[in-house]
Amino acid sequence: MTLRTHPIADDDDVSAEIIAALAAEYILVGVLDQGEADTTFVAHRVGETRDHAFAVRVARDLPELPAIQRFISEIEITASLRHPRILPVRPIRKFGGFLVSEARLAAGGSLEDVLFMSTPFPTDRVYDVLHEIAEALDFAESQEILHGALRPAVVGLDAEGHVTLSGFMLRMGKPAASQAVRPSEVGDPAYTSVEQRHDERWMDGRADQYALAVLAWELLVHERRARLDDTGMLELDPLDVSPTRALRAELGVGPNVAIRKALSRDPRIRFESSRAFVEALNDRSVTTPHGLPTYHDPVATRRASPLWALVPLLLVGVGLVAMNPVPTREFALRQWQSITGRLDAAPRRVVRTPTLGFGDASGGGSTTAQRNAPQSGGSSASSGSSRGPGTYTDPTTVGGPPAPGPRIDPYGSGTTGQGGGTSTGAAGQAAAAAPSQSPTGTSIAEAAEVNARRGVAIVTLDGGSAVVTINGIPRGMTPATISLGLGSHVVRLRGSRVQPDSVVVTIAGGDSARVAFRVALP
Amino acid sequence: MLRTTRSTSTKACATAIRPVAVSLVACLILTGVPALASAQYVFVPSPPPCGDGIGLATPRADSQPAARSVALITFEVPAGNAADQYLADALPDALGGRLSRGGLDVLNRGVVRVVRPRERREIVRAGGTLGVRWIVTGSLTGSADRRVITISLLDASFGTEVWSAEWAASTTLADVESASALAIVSRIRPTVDAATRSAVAAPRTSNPAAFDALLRGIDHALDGAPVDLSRAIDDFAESGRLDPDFALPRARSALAASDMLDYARRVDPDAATRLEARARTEANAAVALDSTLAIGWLAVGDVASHRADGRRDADRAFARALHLDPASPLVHERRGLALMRMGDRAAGEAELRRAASLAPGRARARIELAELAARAGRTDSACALLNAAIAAEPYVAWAYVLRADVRARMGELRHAWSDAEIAERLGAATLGKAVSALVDAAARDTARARDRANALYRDVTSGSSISAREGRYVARVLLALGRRDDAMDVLERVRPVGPALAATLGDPAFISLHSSPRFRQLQRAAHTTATRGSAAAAAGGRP
Repeated sequence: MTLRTHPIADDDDVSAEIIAALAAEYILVGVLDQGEADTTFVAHRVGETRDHAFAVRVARDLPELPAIQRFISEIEITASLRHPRILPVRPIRKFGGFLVSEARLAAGGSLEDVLFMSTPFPTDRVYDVLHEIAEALDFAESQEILHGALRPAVVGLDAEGHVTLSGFMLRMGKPAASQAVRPSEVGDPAYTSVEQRHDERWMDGRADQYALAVLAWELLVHERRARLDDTGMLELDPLDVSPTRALRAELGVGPNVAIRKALSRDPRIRFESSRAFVEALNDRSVTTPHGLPTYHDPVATRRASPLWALVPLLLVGVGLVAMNPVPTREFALRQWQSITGRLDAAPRRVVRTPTLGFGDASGGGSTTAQRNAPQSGGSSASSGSSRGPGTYTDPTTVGGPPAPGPRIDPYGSGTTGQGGGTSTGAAGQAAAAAPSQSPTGTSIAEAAEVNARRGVAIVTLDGGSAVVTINGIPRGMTPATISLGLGSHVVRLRGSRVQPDSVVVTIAGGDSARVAFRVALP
Repeated sequence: MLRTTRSTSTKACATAIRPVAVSLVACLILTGVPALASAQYVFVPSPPPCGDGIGLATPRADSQPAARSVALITFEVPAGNAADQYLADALPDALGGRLSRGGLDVLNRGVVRVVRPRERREIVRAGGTLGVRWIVTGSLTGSADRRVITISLLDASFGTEVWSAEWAASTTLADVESASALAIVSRIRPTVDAATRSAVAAPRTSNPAAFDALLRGIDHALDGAPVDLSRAIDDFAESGRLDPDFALPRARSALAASDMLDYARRVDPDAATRLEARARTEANAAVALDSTLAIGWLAVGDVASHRADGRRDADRAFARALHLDPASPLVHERRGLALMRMGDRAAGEAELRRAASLAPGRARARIELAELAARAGRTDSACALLNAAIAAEPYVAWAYVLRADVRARMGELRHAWSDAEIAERLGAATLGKAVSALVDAAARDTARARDRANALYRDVTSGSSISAREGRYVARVLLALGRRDDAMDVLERVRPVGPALAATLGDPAFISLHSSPRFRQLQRAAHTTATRGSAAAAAGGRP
């Protein structure tokens, strides 16, 4: 298996900068992969032979950027795991303006490379690979770490063909808001379980088991679940796991039963561990199909109810509605637009807060629970900090006895009760200005808090389209609406003659900054 | 007695008939209405006149392709090789010119941006779709300094490769182009005469770097947006500087500058005057260097058409270009556009039709024809033209704007809305939003239309100027919502004030504004500028 690498671009300033920054320790040979915020190079150490090659991941030292935060979090989590089936990763080091992480090079490439070669993977080999992945996942779960982004690309293969898993992203039990990255953001859509898509706090190793089941299906069927359609949109094919038709001719329906169970929407129905799933998958003793429909003799029919007489009237009503298609189409259009309008208007990262039974919602508003909003009722009034665990305060009980019982916030604020931090900074002020809770149960204060930590730059180019770079990092084509952290950012358009050459925008919480370029005439 | 008897019998009869009649009527209602309701599902209505979906279906050729018909498709360049990406389109585009000179019927006279067919049946299918007998493909491997160029000729009738050659990095691009062109022409026309062979193989320039810069310029010019044209002009200038006797980059530079003039006049009138003078100088230099270069005369005519007093010069230059290359779709297309710019709409439309028939894969002529058809109320033909244009080049935002407008008029609101959204995502932000608002208004969703119109009005009035197309659509939205004064504010911001604005003000949608003194004043200004001509530009660049 030969690794597929790309040459390092000669005319790229960023590449030259990286080569110069790492020159004291590494000689970069080629580009292995380009991630969201980092580039993986094949490199060898200065003074060593080219036989000892490493995968060196390089990202800019801009920890305020979410993508870089994700990169750092991934390296830290993966580096904390020691297991034969998990890729050993060295902690991050700084070289000039870059963050660098070194790992052993997966000499056999990744599962992505070998999975969809012309011939299907041999069945025994499939089980070996799945077994090793399951071992790694179960070990990580025992260390309270979830992978969260399992897909063929993160399953490396060493020279002997053994698995070395990389890219662990999540810590168990941590609320979504306090993770460097939300579970729903890291998962590949084709492999993500329902609970992960919903950022459920109680998510556990069974989410990775779901991804493993999808991977098992792909390996056995020799098909990809996700594909790009003609318009470039990602399409997910439904997983066809028939209870009666074997996935491979030589196998029975045992794998079908195991995969169906591991793909259950409800995690409680899945296997206890990933290893248990792989063992069930390999269980050749299951030969009878499960879940076949059962035929029952028809029960003697009773006399028809007189209510059947209403059926023609219902038909008439339906007919009258259906005979007027034009309003229906307009109605559909309005529905479509109202949905997209709501999506446009929604805050970017709304953290949903459950409507808990705190206080009395029918009490004219005075007893409605407030969250993360600073109180003006004296020192005993409690409020949540902008990032830490939130605190519910019932104005009617301020200064009095605590509200009965602890409350669990399943969306990320931990156990709540009386007392807590104080609100500081823009986030707290924004929260104070916001109403306590929307009628739908969404905490507007919390949404405002999240928005207060970010702003938006709307970048346009009059006369075409070009790649927008923010602080040297490409962020999409114009016209682009880009979410940015607080502070100053340098906006440029790559490879185009435009005026002005660059613009520095300073973002304050919740701001929208407009950056307009135009073509520089020759 | 008799009356009593009759009355009694009538009553008896009525009494006997009434239950039957009531039952009959009830039965008719109970069965007829559902039957009618379900009939509309049984008799499926014909598909919407402007097609279903986004219309990306590729046209298929029905007739047998001509024996000398050939299509050059985008060469494959590895994604990691950023330095050579420009060759993917530019090299086949340049090669197309040579093949035409060798007597081959080159589809669109340039590159066709489709994916390379690999297997036999894919090659046959691609030939059928493009309507050609031969397909030229190519690929580049290795990095920029060690690249290997492979060019192949595929016979689409049988799906086989009939010729292929590899060139190492030591071979210059100019040599690759001429050698492959000669080999392809010799393969398709084995009996070609010596004169044609030497014409095909004649070197364009002795300076490889000049040819390389030309290819970079061609690649940028193919994209067509002002930002790309600006870079193309720089590349052509570099090519001309490296080889002062090379006519082709000068002609191409003049055409790119001509394409950019409307944009330049809007954002910087002074720079536009300089650009027009430069274009004229370059075009004249091109024909002075090579008087047999059709594209050179085309450039002369195209640049002259921007002057109000340039009709005579333009006609003469276009006639010369057509004499040198009568079957060139590019010459017909640009002549058509120039004639329309100079106010001769009928002649312009005829030229555009000729261009569209010569090059089924070129979108520009079709889009212009569609706009004319839409203005004339011929929505069916506008639809057909736009569908064909989008199938040929699916990334032209203006085509989606027009189709959204046409579809909204035809009541295909949902498809119209999706077209408007695509246009917005392809970069035409103002036009996309404006036509979305028009669709909203057509769907009687005035609240949303008003929201969009407010945002558009705010954007337009906070900026410096807008183009005639943008002004037309934004003003139409405001007018549809009854905001006459705001519509006039928008129209007054259109730059340049000239023929394009005059044509915009002639849109039937603005009939209700004709009584406005502001509108009449603007109309006068636009017509005066259109007829007066830019004397400064005329004086600036004459050789």
